[in-house]
Amino acid sequence: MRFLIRLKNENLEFKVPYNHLYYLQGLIYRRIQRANPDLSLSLHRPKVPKLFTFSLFMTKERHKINSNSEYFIGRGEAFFYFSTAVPEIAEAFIGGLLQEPEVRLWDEKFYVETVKALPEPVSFNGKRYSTLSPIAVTTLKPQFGKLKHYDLGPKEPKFYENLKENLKQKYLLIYGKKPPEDFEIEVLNAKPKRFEVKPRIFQRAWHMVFRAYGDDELIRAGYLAGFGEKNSLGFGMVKVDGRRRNG
Amino acid sequence: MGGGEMDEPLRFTGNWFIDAGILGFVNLMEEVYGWDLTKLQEKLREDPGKVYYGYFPFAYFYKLSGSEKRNLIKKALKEIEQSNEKGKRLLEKVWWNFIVEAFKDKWITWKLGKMHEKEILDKKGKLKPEYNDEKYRELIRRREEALNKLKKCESYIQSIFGKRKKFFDGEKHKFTLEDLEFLKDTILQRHEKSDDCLRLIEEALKIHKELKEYLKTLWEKVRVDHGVLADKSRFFRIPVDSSFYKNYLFFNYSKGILEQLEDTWNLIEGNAEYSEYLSKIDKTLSKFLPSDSEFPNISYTPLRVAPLLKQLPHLFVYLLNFLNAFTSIPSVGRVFFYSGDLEFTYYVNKRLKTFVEQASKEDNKNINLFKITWQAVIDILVEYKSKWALENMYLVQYRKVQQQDLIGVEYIGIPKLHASILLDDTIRDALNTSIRVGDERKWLLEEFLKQKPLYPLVQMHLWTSIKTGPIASLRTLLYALAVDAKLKERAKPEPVFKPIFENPDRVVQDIREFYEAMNIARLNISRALGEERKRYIHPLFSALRKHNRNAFVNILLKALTKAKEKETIKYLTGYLINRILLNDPAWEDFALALLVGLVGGGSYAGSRMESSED
Repeated sequence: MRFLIRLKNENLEFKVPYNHLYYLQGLIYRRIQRANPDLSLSLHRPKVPKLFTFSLFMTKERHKINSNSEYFIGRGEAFFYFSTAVPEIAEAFIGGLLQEPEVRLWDEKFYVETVKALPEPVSFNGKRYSTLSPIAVTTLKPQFGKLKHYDLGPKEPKFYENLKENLKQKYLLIYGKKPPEDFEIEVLNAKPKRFEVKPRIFQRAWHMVFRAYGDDELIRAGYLAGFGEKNSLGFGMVKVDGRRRNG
Repeated sequence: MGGGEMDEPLRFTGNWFIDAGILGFVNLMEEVYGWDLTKLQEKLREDPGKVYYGYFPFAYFYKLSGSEKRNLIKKALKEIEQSNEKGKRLLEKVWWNFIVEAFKDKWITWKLGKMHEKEILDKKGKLKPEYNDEKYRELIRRREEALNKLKKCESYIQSIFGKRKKFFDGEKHKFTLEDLEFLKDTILQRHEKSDDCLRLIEEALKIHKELKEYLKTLWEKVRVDHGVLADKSRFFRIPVDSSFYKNYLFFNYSKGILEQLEDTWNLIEGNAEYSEYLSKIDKTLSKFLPSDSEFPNISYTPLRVAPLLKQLPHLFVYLLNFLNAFTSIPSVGRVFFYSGDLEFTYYVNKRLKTFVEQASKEDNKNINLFKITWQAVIDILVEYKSKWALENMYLVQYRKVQQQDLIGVEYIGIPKLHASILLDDTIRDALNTSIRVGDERKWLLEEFLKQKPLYPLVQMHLWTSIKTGPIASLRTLLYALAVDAKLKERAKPEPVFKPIFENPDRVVQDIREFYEAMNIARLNISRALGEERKRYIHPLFSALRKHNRNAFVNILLKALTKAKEKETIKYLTGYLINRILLNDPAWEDFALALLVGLVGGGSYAGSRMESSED
């Protein structure tokens, strides 16, 4: 299930850091903890897909300050998308947001104006997707005798291999059954992005437009929980292109 | 109730046709002796022989006789009770002492009714066997002559009758037995003793009286002598008739009183060898059954009676009573409710009869058969708290016996799931209500039993209430939605290897849980939206009518951003997500429950404060 959260700043213009995923993640965890502390604890377990993701923070208008600035200026309405395959997470986060509609992000104060539930696509196979937050896929590579995290890109076959394995893992967690093998993507466009996800920890990820083919439920798992890794940090959220928005 | 208890001598067989006969047998005994099922079972336990060879034949023929001699019943009861005779001896005792007595008036009337000698003669001028008595013939002839002499008094007679009926065809009179009885009663009041016509009338009536007395003496002799001569058997035939049971010999006009007794004995005894017609179960036994020559491929038509008789020695007794199982309903026909349990069937039919009598007293000619049948079923259910399966119930209906016209055997069984819901007192009570839908009222239980969805009715009722008020009991509406949601949930495709039957208790538990969830949500939404709640009714209704789930949820999510109470928001968020967004089969029921809250207000649904139009 997927929601659009519209926010309103007390001022017409407001600052938005380019590396804002960390703040949004904090907001989500705080609201979940407020509504369901037990769930919040379980979401802090490491190395397990959290089965939720969210988009970048978007604004109706955005203005660059200068090329070195860590911020851009947003103007008018602000919004982001939240998606999860676990109803309990949706219930806790949305409930938490509605219970406390005043939201503090970086140094700005926002108010939750609306929360909209978005309808799910009827089918997933063969559709064109574009990222609402970039997709991160990593691998471990030996470097100076140690295994180090290495960020993969769409030109590397391992990218697709790991993307699929990661999706299968999510499938197993969501549906509780053996995942199918039938999955591949055709990348139509890709652009790298580098985010500071935590102080001095960087992640290279890819904004992409792609077509996904294969088992409908398997692709749906990616649609709901995010493609690739670090979804709970705000990576891998996609939308179906060309869909009429309603609801 | 436990109709299958082993100590009950009378039990259903599972074959509706035979079981109808068993119930008919019970009904007969109740009608004549006033025994209910319990009493009859008691009598059967004490001495089944007395019931089948004594009480039953008397009751059966007493009913056929149309007699109203209640004292005769008392006398027969006492005599049978004290009798040491068994089997055939007991039957003979009952036959000659009481059955003959019961038919006295009918037999005499039948014989008196032959107004012309010609009627009792065959083509050769000899007495027909059923009128084979010379003195009877003589008296019939003399009465006819005396009545013919009244030709010259035709206008006088017409003045007595006060009507323009033609009493003569040439020289032959056309008086009927009723005419003579009328003349007899009227003539006593006349005082014109010297009148010639009066004298002639008196003469005819005198012979008529003599004939009547003669017949009385004859019939009384039959009773006292306990028998008749073989050549007089037809003359003394007990006047019974049934187009439905024509094949049973005692209804056959060619059989005399001795053969009728013999036939009755063989029927009770279950002696299938006695006659070909008794040997197979087909149309010859009852018009309700197909003929084995017309339908040779129906598995049971070639079925012989013999194996059945081993299980049910008195099978024919039951088959004879088939029609007694039915209740006559004006403008509907004759109806019999059947379930697999004798006690339950008995009590439901009894209640059905009471409803019909009540409607007749109230001069209500438009009886809703479905409604009264189910009302009867439910009443009995409530009264006896029985735990039987409501499946395999039938409503058998036909219009006329004479024309052997079977309208149709209507099946009113309901699925196990519906049955288990109906067994729950709370849910059943909640649904046992009529709600206003537009200009008419709909009985929710009826729709449920007809397996129709309840959601559209609740929706239409709410719409009616918004426009014209008032709203029905919130408890009723929420239970209707909860039941509807459960049924929709059950209707979705199941995995192939899921257990076939869901635990009935689980079903009821789920409905109660749905109801609770809806009820709490209804209270919370009223609280969350407060005074503004009315403003949301129309947009929400519109979203529901368009089946737009997201629009419905989003209207409320937006509204909740302004809500104050945190617990209320928490509950409603969970409800919107889990009961509506994630509930593909039944989201509309849970959504409408919120509207019930907005339209009906926030009082507790279980309280007596609720608005109600029950």
